[in-house]
Amino acid sequence: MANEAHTATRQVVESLREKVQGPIEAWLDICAHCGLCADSCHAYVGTGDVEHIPSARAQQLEKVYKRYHTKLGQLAPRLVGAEELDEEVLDRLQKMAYQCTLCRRCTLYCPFGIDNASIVGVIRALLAEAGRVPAGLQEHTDTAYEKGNTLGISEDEFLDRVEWFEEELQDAVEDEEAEIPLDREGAKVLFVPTPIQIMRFPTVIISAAKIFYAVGEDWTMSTKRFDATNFGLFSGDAEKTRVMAERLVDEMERLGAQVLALTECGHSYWAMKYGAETWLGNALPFEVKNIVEMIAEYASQGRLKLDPSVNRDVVTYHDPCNLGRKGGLIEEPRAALKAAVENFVEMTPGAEQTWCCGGGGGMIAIPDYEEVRLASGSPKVEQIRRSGAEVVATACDNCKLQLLDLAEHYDLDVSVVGVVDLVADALILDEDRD
Amino acid sequence: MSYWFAWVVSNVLPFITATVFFGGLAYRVVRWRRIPRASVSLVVLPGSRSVGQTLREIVTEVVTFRRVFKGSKVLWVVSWLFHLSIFVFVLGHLRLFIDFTWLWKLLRLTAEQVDLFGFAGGGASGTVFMLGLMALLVRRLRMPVRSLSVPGDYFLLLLLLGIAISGNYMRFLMHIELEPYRAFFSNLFHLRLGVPVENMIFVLHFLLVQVFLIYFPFSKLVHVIGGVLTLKWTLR
Ligand code: HEM
Ligand code: SF4
Ligand code: SF4
Repeated sequence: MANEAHTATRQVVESLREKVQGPIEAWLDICAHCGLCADSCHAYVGTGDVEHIPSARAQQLEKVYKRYHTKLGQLAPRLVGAEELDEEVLDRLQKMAYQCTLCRRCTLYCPFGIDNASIVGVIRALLAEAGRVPAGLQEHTDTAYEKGNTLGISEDEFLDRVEWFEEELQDAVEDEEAEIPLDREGAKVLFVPTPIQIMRFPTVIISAAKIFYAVGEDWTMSTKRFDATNFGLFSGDAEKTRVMAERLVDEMERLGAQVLALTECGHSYWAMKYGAETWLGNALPFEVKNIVEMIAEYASQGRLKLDPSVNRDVVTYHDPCNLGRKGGLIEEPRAALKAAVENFVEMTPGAEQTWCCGGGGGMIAIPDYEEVRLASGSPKVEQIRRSGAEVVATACDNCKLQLLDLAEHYDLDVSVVGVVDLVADALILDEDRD
Repeated sequence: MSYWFAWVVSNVLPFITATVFFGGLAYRVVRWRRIPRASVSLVVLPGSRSVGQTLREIVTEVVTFRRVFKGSKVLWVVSWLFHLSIFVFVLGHLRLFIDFTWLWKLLRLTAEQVDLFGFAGGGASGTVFMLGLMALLVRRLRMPVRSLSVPGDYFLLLLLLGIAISGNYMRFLMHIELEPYRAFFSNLFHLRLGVPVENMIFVLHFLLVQVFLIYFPFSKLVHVIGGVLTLKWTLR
């Protein structure tokens, strides 16, 4: 009986077979349903909703997979708990997949290291194919795909903003000649910001420019590609993910740069450093670095002079999942901060075991998820309270937006700033520059 | 009727069991080694490690159940003892197939001492195993683990409980001489079909074990190999 709903999902069912293979299949097979991952997930801890237990997300995928691609699941669906991909299941999958922030904290707590974030990635890919990306996230993705950046900023608008950033830079470093280079071919470093920074967190760009100025970096920005983010990755749309990564690769090639310096942003670093190679089918011919990584390098080479006494508040660092746990940048931001502030404190559990802010994975772009997002942030809030910090430094717009929302919602008296901002504030500029 | 039943369980089923068990596991591993055709980036947790380091971490993980400890101390006690008991009685059962005379010589143990040792080790592990299963069952019946449970999870625990109870029954409530069982397995290995041991509890125990082994490759028990194979992707 080939009704309409059935044909609509046929393609999804087919691609399910291609995606649930190798490691993904192994993980579904070995999960002991022990529930150890439950308390590691902020979404479950924050909401108490059992559909947010990491293994529950994976099991929901497994149930659908079994229904279509195993004999027992076809013959005796009830016995093995196989489920048809109907409207109800699609809705549940959507909630389970897009309310997971892909933070990989559960991976560290599962005795078998089952990576539920990869499994959720598969679910998102299926939902994207089925046209089930939540509203808000879909719009941002489409805008980025069609207009080249998530906010649809035009080139003129961008130039306007940069002009203003440049004036701010000149004031800050007291040098009329200081500039924000644009489209400079042959520059060593291409620095790519995010649209949110251009419009809402401009200090990140100005601070980065100040740091580049201080160390005399050979850098540029691009007037074509000023969006580091990859919303294709959030929505699960494989084609758009690839195109968005490819744009940055092409721009690097056009300008002949050697280092792709990504701004304070978690997922774009992960996307370019670890994802792009798989999506594009070849290794990237240049280095991918995050700005905090570059700052740590400058500091270790003695190229940065910092005066920590300008930052006297108690500062803690929130590791964006994509930079810390998933990206491997644990020491770098700490090295930068410790050189730039007087009172640095860690949160516990810290470093790669830190709690996710609860707003990642694209959730911040989905208005319907606000309530869950705020609830999911409660373990992070507790952790910040316990640390006694007055300032939470982080290196990701997404985390920042979420932390600001959390501070307001939970009456948490902290300010939220970027690592680059604290470092830029502490900069001592040499009188005689060569 | 019961004779023929015992005969089938002891002489026919074992060959089916062995085929399904080894064939099933091989099938699993072959499937796991396929590379997904869709482009799923599988860089899970970056960080370079040498082969030696990875091996050491896997061994630590398998021996200490460190991640279980990190997650829940209570479950760790139960789970670690439970798995240790499995390890101990699996070793103990080897005496059914192999006569470790050289080992006893090395340890200077007399036959009586070996039997006593076996009784203590087997009795303790059997008891811990049974209690562990009950504890795991209780845990599974409570939230939130209950919400993650599928029929197969309960089936497995109950099946193992059946194996534990029938095994412990033979150990504690019957007087068993090892020799006839050893002879039986020796015959089986040499494909000499013979009269099975006349002990219906043993036949039941042996049947349940075989059901378990047949179910094994198609259940979450593949964590025994999969847990080790997959850990290397996500160690930290
Ligand atoms: C390399 C060896 C093994 C490792 C590392 C290992 C590890 C684990 C871990 C971490 C769990 C989840 C925690 C728990 O629920 O206890 C688990 C569950 C389980 N293991 Fe193992 N295991 C191994 C071998 C075995 C063997 C040989 C058996 C055979 C009977 C077994 C039977 C079970 C069962 C039945 C469960 C599920 C308990 C439940 O339903 O709650 N394991 N194992
Ligand atoms: S990746 Fe993070 S949000 Fe997703 S299930 Fe795991 S712990 Fe929860
Ligand atoms: S901790 Fe791992 S094995 Fe246990 S339920 Fe969660 S994903 Fe499955």
